[in-house]
Amino acid sequence: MLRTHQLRRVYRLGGAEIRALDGVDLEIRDGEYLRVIGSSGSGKSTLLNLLAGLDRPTEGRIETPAGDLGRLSRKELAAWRSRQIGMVFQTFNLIPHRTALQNVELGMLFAGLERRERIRRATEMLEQLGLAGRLNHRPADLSGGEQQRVALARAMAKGPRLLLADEPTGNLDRENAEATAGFLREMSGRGVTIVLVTHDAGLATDDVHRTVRMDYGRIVDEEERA
Amino acid sequence: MIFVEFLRIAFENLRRMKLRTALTSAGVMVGIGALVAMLSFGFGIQRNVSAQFEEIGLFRTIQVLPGKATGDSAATPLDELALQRIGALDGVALVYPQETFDGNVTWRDSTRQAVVQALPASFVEQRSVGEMVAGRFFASDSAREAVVSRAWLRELDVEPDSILGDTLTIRAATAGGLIKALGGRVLENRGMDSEAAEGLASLGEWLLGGSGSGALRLVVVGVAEVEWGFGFRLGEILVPTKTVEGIDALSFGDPLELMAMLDEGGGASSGWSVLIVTLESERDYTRVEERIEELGYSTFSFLDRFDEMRKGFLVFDFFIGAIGLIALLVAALGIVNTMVMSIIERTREIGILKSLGAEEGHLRLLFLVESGAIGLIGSLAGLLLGWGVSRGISTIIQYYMKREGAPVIDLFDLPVWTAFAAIGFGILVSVLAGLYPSSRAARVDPVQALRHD
Repeated sequence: MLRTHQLRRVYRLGGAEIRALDGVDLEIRDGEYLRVIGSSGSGKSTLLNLLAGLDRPTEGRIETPAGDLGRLSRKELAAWRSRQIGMVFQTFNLIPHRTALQNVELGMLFAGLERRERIRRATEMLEQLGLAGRLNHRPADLSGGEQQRVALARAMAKGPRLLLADEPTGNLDRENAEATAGFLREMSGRGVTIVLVTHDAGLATDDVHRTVRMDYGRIVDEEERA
Repeated sequence: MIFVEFLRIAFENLRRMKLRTALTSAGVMVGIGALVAMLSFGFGIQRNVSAQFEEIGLFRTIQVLPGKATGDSAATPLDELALQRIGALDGVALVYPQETFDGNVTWRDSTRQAVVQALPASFVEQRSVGEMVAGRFFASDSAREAVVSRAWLRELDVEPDSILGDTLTIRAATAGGLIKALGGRVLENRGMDSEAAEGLASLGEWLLGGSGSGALRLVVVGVAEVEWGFGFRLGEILVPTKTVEGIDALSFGDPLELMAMLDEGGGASSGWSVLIVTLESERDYTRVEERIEELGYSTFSFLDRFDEMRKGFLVFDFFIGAIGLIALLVAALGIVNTMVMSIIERTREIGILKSLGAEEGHLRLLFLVESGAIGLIGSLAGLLLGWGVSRGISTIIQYYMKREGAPVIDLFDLPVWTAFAAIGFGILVSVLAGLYPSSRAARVDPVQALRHD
């Protein structure tokens, strides 16, 4: 279970103070599929970065099985990212000069898996996502949907307990967006805790357990699926 | 495990950026190449000098001088007792007096001056006098035999084989004889009539001990290409020690001894001025030298002098190595530039790696491995370049040496350890150059990096 308590993240830009998060209290249950929606600049991605341990809160706590992320060392945060979470992004964030297989395999390197095991899992995951014939293709040779599937494979191949998805369908057409949503649904069905950040109010509406709406760095609405 | 992975990733990245890697490595190659060629030249000179010294046995030779007189004890002379005492020391192969005198040597009908050297017959077993051109060395210390130098024969314009078996008559130039010769000339220069000057000089010669103690008649048994070395010299005519004992000779070129002899009325001094000790092995050098000094004699240590020379060689190597170091320093700046550029270009990749769980240490290591790999490639190429350049120059110089009839030597020396050290040094410098860029990579903010284009 993850719990944030009065989470604040303030940026200072040219003397101005920007409150990206302004007192967020949120509890995410194990196995929950949570959707965070809101307009651009509402603080969704900042929340996700804090949950991933990529950023540190200005104030407040993020309680996780690994401890309060705000108090962990950089090394401990790296371990949190490498072993406990998988991330997917709107822009896929694949390494352009590495093949699909190498990108997925790299996702497990810092989790300490042996090379042979990494290759086995990466191949299996990519085949599962319909990319068996694309293992040795570089991102530039893949379509947007295929790239996102590689990114999903990379995030899930190491078997994380938490998947953080930041606008994963933002650059995809309807068909690929639905395929991505389908994959997330499948992962949720396997018990993976998912936090999906999206500005698309129609995405995965029927799949998620709960939706929270953010505005100006706060949770302004919360809807539990019946 | 992760290091091997990083090595793989580093080489993948370097292969991807072929031109940049090649240019940066070329900088290291020039630096290491210059360093290798320069050091190889320095080592070559040192090796050649050492080899020359070793060949003439200097590392196995100690010069022994009479002990210095102290307040309550007299100076320890180099006499027969000294020969016995030093000869009995463990590790001493040979001890003999450095007995060189100026002689008048008559062969067939002509008489010429020559430096005569008394040596024990066993000398050639311990140390080479140089190549025997004809015949052999004298058979015993009391043989009525002589070996002449090739150089002396050249002056006479005589072939080595034609003198073997001939008889030489050697007369020593005594103190009296020298005074007669010198005195006569001085008086003549001062305007005295030549006959009167010769008369006065003859009187001086008579007062100082007459006209020498006779002549030695020796059979020439060998001709050698006699070599000259540091700290001692071999004469033009080599004769056995015991054979020459009877001759009242004046040591050549030693003004102090000349004065001493004049004080004593021209007679022989109570001992030799120098003994030469040849050791069985270089390893015994310090121990035997200490033992000789304990016996009350002074020593002249060539090894000590050579240690000073070695320091000189070190300074020389350092200065010529500095030229290579400057080139390597420039190459290091090239590496810093390349790595910083690479980090700027790969900011997003760094962000991705961090999001996947890379620690700062991992990123630091990744970029250090990359800069070290540039160093490895450059150093290997530099080693080949340096070796190639030194071989090329050496071949050209040897060609000219051969053409001019000079003995052919290799001016360069590249010991195996130097090759490994050069590669290690190239990698070390490259890794040091990568320290700043790699720590910059480690500090990249992942959130910013993931937004980077």
